[in-house]
Amino acid sequence: MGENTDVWQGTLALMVLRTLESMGPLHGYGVARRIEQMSGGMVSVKYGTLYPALIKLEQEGYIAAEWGVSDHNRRAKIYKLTRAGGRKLAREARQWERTTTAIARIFAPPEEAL
Amino acid sequence: MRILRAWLARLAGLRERDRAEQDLAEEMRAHLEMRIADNVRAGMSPEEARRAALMESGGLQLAADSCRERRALPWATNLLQDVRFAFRTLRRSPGFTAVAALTLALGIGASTAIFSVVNAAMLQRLPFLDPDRLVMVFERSPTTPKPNVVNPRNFLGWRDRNRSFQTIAALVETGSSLTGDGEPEQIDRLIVSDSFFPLLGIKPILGRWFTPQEGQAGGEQVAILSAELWRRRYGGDPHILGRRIDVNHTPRTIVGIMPAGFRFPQTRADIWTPLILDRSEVNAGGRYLRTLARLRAGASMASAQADMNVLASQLQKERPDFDSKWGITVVPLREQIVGDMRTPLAMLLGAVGLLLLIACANVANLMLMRGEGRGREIAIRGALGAGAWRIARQLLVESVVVGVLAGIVGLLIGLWTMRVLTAALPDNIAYSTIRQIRVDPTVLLFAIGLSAATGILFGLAPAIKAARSDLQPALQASGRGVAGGRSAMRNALVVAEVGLSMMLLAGAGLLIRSFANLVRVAPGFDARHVLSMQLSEDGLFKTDVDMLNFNLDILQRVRRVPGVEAAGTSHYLPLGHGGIPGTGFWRADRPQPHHGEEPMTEVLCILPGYFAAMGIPIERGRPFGERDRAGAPFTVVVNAALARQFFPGEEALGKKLYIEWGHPDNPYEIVGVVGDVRQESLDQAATPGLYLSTLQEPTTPVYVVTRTLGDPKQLARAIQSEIRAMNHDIPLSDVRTMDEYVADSVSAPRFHAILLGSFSALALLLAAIGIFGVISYGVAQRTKEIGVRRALGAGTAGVMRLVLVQALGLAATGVAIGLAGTFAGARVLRSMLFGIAPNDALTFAGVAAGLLIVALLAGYLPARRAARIDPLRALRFE
Repeated sequence: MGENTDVWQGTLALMVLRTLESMGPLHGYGVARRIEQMSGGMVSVKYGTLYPALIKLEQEGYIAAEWGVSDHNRRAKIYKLTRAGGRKLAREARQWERTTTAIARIFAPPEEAL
Repeated sequence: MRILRAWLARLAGLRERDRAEQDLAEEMRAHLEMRIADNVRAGMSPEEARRAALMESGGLQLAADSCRERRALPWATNLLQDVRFAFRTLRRSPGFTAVAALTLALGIGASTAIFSVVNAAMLQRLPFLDPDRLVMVFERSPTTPKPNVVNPRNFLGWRDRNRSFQTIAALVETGSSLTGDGEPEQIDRLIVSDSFFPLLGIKPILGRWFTPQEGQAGGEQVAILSAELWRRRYGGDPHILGRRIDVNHTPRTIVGIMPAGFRFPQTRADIWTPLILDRSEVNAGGRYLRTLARLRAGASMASAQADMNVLASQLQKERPDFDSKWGITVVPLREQIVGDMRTPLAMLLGAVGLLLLIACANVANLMLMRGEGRGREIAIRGALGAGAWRIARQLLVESVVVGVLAGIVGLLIGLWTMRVLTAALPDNIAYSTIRQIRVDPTVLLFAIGLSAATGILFGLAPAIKAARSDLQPALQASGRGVAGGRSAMRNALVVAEVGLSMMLLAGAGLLIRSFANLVRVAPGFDARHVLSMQLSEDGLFKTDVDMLNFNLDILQRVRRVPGVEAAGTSHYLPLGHGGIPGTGFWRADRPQPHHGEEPMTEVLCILPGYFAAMGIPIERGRPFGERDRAGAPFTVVVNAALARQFFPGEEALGKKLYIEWGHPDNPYEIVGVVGDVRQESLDQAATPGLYLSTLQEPTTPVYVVTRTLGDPKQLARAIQSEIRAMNHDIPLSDVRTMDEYVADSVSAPRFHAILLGSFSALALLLAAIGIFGVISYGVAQRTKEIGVRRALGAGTAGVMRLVLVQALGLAATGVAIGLAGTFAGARVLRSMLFGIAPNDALTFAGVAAGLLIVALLAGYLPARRAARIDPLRALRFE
């Protein structure tokens, strides 16, 4: 895991929302773990980035949190996607797609000589 | 919206810090443990698992920090921290905090109190409809520029022919009696034209205003009562409308009740009656109306004045015998009201402003010295990574906290001062009607703003210094803080303090000496042992003969009261309130001057006994007697000023005068010359004046004056019951000694002198503390140097001189700068001074000398301490 890249916040927020959408309510560790797995170990999520991002999303009302019990019977703060979060995710995902498509086009080998 | 929501959440986060902190810690602990568990499951040993989890976390504390920052507003948290830290620091040095806060509180308190007076007097809107469109219209006499009251027939001309006013109203103030239903009472009456109330845009709380018919001769006799009189005398009877009351012994029907607290422009009245205005002969002569008007839409002050100028020249042509050379002046109502208050209030506000600045300078100096004592602390904080701005902000927050503390205490001091001020406010001061001084939002805002501003003002110097300061020397200097030598700022502050004090003291000195001059003035009568009281006989008698006999009888009875030496009457009281009546006159042996150009003189109508009762010396000839009555040759008594001015080098006795006031076709023989009396105020030299015998010019006397052997107050009851025995329906009021009138007449200057005196005493104290502080600090800093001097043979006197010269130098610089400021600033006092120039050298020299002496005294203690420094210990001091 040594070559892991830390992710920037905007992207992280998107990943958090996406994770909560696909996995359902989850605690912070679960979110971090899931993101690492999904990225095939390419992305490592540090506390210092994850928790501020969670707080920000919670403040903005895209996710909600409450204390619950984790699968190992441990008290944990469980986050879940709100309806606003779902809309935000859809919006951001479209935006993301457009951006990545655009970037992909720019980086794609030229189809014909100019 | 989201952003706003996040901000609200962060703001809320400021409050729930502790709980959130615990939550976060728990959450991260859970996170860590889950990771460890997973690692173990993946095959690591427990230790290894823990180590890997911790390494991967990237520092729990750092994570907590960034969460904290995200959760709330970091700068607000920092500010809270700063404030909390400031409180802790200040609590650690309670002496410093108390002195600083108290010093400032004095300044803030004084400023708030005076500001509240100014606020009530000058900044409040007048309680009338659209008051900025209201003006007062005056006639302008050919001889003085002062606005003059108005002739009724001229008023009618203005009313019918002006093009500038929507409405114009006339009023005249008078005293009246209220009798018939209970104790006879002397009341203040305002006689107003029917347009007066609608013009102001006010509504009666009961009933109605006057109708135009009631303003005609022969109209219904009606009256409107003040809410205060209604409550006091009639118990607030809701069915009072239609009831009849006796005003000056004439029955009138009550048609309305005024709103409570109504004054116009500043005078309070108990009752209002309609002014009868027509073109009858009665209204042709005399000028006595005051005139209020509302500018019509589109008219400005300038256009109204131009319009009235045209009208004035028309009226001059129409009645040349009466209006020749008389002009018209339009004055904004607001100007009319605040004009007289401006100088004294500006003076007081300036004085408290100076005081506050001095307090700020003092506290800034305290802060500076403390800041230097804390040099190491600050340097260490800098070395640990606090930015210059962060440190400066911390110091600034500290001083604002002190400022706010001072503001709270200052507001209390201000409230107390306000109460004392309003209680001590003399009745005849220009702004005395502003008794409803209270703490309204404006005053509160002023106090809060002031404390914050002072906090920043005195905190700025130390903060700038701290922000600029270099860490190295402070850390190296062993325990001494930032070393001395950089005392320029401190010295400048002390010099400023002394300079400002100099200005305040000089102003106070001028006012006090002016007041002393005033009370030394001989009024021209002997005020001791004289009792005066006011009678209201208007409307009581059918004929003049009845009236005169009645008053002669009163005097006979009063003179029989044991302890009474003399008694007389007059229709005007020296140093009483209001202007003395005047009349035109000329020497019978000289040609009559053109109409309107006769010399003017004061005129008083008196009954025999007046001169003896008032103690006015008869210089030549005789006083009036009962023989100077109707039918006998007309006689007049003149004052020395008239005799001097109009009969220079001649004997006035036996000469004859024509006097417009009385019977202008008959010459009056001068039978006596009496001493000059300052009738209107002590600061105005006596002008020519004459006395007429009431027996020849029947006017109802207003004042009975009695000279007694002992304390005149003791005889008041006996004298009153003699008068009551003659007629129990006569209102008797203002039973006062002439001493009280004299004291009252100087109460405004006394009030201002005392106030400015106390402010400058405070300033002097603060300046002395400032000098003492700076010199003491300097001595402490120079302990080693002084020790070396002592070791090298400097004597006690030499060391003391060294220190005292420094104190004197600071004070002298301050005095010099202050003198320059004083010369510039004292001019505003000119109109408040009597018998002394605003640049009086003696006063300034005295104040300067006083300040230098105080500086020497303030420097003496530290100088003595310096002289006692033991060279050995001083050298070991490091």
